Amino acid sequence: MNHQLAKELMQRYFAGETSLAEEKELRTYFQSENVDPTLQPYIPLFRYWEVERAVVAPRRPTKTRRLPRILLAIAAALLLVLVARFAQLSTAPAVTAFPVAERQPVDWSRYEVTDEGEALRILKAVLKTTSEKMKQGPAITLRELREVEEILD
Amino acid sequence: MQSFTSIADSVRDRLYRLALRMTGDGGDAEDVVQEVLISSWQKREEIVRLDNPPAWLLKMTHNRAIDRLRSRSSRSNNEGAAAHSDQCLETPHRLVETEDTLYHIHRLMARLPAEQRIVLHLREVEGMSYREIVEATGLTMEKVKVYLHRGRMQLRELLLNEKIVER
Repeated sequence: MNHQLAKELMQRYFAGETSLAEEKELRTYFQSENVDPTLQPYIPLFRYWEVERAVVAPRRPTKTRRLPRILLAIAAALLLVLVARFAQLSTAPAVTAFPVAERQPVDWSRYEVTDEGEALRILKAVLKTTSEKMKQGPAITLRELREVEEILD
Repeated sequence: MQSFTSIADSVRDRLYRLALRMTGDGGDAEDVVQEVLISSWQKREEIVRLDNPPAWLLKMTHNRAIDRLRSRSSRSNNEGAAAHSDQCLETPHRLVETEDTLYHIHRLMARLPAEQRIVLHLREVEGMSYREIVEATGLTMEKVKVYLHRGRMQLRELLLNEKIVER
């Protein structure tokens, strides 16, 4: 833009008659190093608008966006631990008092429980153990979640 | 159609600048933007269907900032946003202390009547068209043009009186 046009535009600028495109041209003109001496005093004004445009909202991380991720990560970790634990239990060799049949056939009739009271006692013991094992997983999860809540609080 | 989140992300800095220029306080400006975005989120499905969602959000910010100024005024009976702008610690001018002239202009801007300052800000800083300023402020087209003209002239006069600009 030549200086004469810039002067004319500045007259119209202060009269509020310039278009957005013309104001953009003025901004570019005042950013250049070749500004007419009579217009140079206006450089700070256009510089001021530039500085104002550079203001941005502070970026602050919000807890609400991070919280679910933490919980998800903890829940995933707990799930992994539980799965690993159950997998380990199911694949581990069973510790038993019964003889392991390898080559010789086992006479299972020798170990058959014939007494009704004894059978009931064994059944109760098995059910109790099963129940305890079943409760263990959720109990661990609940305990871990409580700990997480305490940390978050 | 843009999602509300992407609209909010793209316009957040503009909302903040407007709120900051109106309230003159960084903390207040953040609160205003937060309130606007939260209340807008509840109407997000309607907002994304608007012709110009950013203009609507700017209008909300403008209105919310006015509410805040009013409540602040009634609370502490202060002298208005202009005086507060001088105290604003988060303006770039405080950060760039060597640029005394810019800070001087900032103080002069703060002395302009609020509506002229807002119209000037939306035009000069945000590069908004007259129609967009009308939508954002709720002023008439005529008033926007008058305020812009008066604002620029008053700023020029202030600059002349302060001898920043030679006659």
